[in-house]
Amino acid sequence: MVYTEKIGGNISFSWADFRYKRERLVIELNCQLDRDTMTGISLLSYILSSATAKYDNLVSLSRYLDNLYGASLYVSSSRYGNKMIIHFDTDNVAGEYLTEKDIGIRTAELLCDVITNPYLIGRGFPDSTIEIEKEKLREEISFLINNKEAYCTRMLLQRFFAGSVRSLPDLGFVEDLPSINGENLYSLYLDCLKNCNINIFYCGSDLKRVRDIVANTIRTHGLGSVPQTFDSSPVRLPKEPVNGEEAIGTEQDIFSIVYHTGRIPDPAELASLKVANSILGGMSTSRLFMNVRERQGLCYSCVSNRMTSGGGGILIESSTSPEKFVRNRDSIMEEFGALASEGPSEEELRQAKLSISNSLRGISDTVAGVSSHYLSSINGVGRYIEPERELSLIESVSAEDVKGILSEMRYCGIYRLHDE
Amino acid sequence: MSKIDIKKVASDILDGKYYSHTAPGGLSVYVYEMPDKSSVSAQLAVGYGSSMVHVTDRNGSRVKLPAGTAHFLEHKLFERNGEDAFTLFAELGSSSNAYTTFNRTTFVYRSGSEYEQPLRILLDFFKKPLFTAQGVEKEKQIISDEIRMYLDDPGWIASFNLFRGLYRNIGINEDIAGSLDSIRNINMDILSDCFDSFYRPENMALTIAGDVEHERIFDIADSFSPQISPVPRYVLASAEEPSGIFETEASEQMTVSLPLFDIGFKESAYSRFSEIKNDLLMDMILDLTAGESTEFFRSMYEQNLINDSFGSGFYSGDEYLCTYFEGDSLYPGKVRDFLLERISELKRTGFDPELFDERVRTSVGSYISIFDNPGSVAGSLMSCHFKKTTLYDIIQLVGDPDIEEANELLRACFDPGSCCLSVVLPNSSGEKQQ
Repeated sequence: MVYTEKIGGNISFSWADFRYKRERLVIELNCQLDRDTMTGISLLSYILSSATAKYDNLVSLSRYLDNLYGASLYVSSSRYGNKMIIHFDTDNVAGEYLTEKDIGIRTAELLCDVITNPYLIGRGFPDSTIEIEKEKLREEISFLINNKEAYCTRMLLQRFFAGSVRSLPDLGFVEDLPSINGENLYSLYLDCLKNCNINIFYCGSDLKRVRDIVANTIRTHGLGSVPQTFDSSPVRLPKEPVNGEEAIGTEQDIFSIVYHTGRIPDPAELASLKVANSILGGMSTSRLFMNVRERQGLCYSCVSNRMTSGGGGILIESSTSPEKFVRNRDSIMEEFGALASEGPSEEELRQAKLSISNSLRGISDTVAGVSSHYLSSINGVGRYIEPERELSLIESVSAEDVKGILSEMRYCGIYRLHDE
Repeated sequence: MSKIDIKKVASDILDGKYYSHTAPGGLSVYVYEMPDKSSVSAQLAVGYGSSMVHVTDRNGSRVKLPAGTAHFLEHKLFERNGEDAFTLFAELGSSSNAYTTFNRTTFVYRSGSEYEQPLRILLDFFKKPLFTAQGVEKEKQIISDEIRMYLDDPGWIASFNLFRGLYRNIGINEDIAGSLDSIRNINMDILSDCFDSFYRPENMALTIAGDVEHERIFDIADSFSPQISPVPRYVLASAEEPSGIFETEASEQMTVSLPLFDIGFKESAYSRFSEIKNDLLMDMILDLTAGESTEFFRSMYEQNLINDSFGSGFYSGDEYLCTYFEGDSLYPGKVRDFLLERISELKRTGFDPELFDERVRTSVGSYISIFDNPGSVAGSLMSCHFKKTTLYDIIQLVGDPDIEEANELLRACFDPGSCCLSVVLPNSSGEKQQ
């Protein structure tokens, strides 16, 4: 069960019943996604996770985390719709199992320090650190090519979302890096802290003290003045499929295909989409797995995924040897077409619903499961949908609903990597 | 049903307990009751993995099995006499998977509260499947695509080039799935003989964790009595690995943005410590040598010789211990040289006691974390079975390691003469991306 209360202004603090051996505190700053600031925001996650005013370098910070029995500190940036999220989280063993009972409190204090007391020199982040981390970000941006499947999908989505902020690359632009320095990056960070909205989630054994620490930090520093919003604007579908290809010397032909409704689904549609995706290519008995891989032997890997931050879409990823590419691609598209026009069998529907329901029930088994479900719900549909409510929505999905959501989707393009 | 050999292992510190029992056929069964969990995780593993390619047959002759046989068998076992095991599990709302490592083949499922039927399906892996020539040929196509998929993974390529540089005979020098050539030599007879030889209850274990009752599980496990071939066709043989390494450097070009490297050491197989103690100490040694809490890491990071991808680990089996450091860097050779200097210095000075104590705390935290998740518990029980220890015995080892023992192990490892650097360099397509 997740509970929520206001801790000032527009800021909500949510927490879950605690019955775990690990505790978790997550604070997400939701900023406006913008071409001009996204590279800086990406860089912030590197800078903020490397030092605080008190632990002014990576080693002293890491050693403090070791002292907290291997507590983890994680800072990252990611995009969701029109938002750029700076995600901070800590995870630590509950004090109940240790001789030092205040580990959770010390970890929460550290997280607040990471956010509000970064290591500064003069009026900005140290320029020496900025230069080091700029190089790391530059490498990270270009590193995408190493993961061919992710690269292929990224290239497809860049074309699919062309003209909207959703087409922006995840980590920003190499060409923005030279103009970033310690002072202007800190100024951007202060701006983010003020002009963001904040989601906080805690699951641990010392609710009152942790809530007080977080609330006090937010009040003192005047964080998060912007009300919560959710971008439900439609996705503009391309007039023609956005097909592309690239010869990068791969052993296999690796490709991604996108289908989309052009809308952001509401919670009931999202349930239909989840069931549809499971039947199509989201589970080990899916049509793509059983028909394309197992029966026809056209590939080893063939899966579909629901688009989590791009509305009502399905992405299909597969790879196969070059001589089988055409048959593999055509077979995948035939499977999609058949499911969209005929709908699933009752048995397929039952299995998909059972599988999703069991996963939803398993969410409460780990603190990581509870927190990621909470945050993906908030970021994905703009409000928290309890697993129990989601279960009932899943349960009510019919074969017609699956057929309906898939037949509403348009084929929007394919991107392929190959040898020559 | 009462079973006189049921052992209960409990921990007051963690407020937990589990039960173990050996089924009549010889299968070891471990059950961790977690009444507050909604999911159930189970694993059935056999002590037969991809590195085990050297065997002797009934005549005592040495035979080398085709690389990829264990993995091929894993694929074929998921197809139960024409029925796909994935479907059988999915009909019950359970998710399932299987994977092959160097030393083991593991079949897993995750279910909700209905765990008994999936367990029966899992135990069916005991029973010998019907291999057909047609089925084997069809599987070769799928596995060929899997092998090609790994050939596009630069991290995978860097690792296996490293293993080939270090080892000549031990099977970790070949891809887990084999090669396009080696799988051509796999046939029904080989699969059948390997099943008979290695899928024997005494070479297998079942672990299960979640809201389960141990007595129900022991009853189900006892009711399965596989037909076992009285004399196995094959018995594992020593790889007779020569000492020394075969390449000090290996490189390959692929479409990558930055060179990837693996710096590995061919270590002597286990020392005077137990396997589990060696593993725990090795984890600490690797972190204390080049982990994020060391000045060495900071210095390398700040000189832009390494980035966040830098990490370390080790692979171990009865006949091998391979330690490695890996990451991405424009200057992999410099990383190796600085690393060797760092190790040489540490061998002289030993580890800093303060850093050592801090690292112990991290181990304690990691150990406790296992017990939040049925999947982690089932996996850890399995590791403990194959390392011949109990899950709670580790508490003592984790909480009270000896720095002198860590120093002793450090000095026995990381010989510069046993070091190989494997690099994947950018080709022209990769350079364009930079």
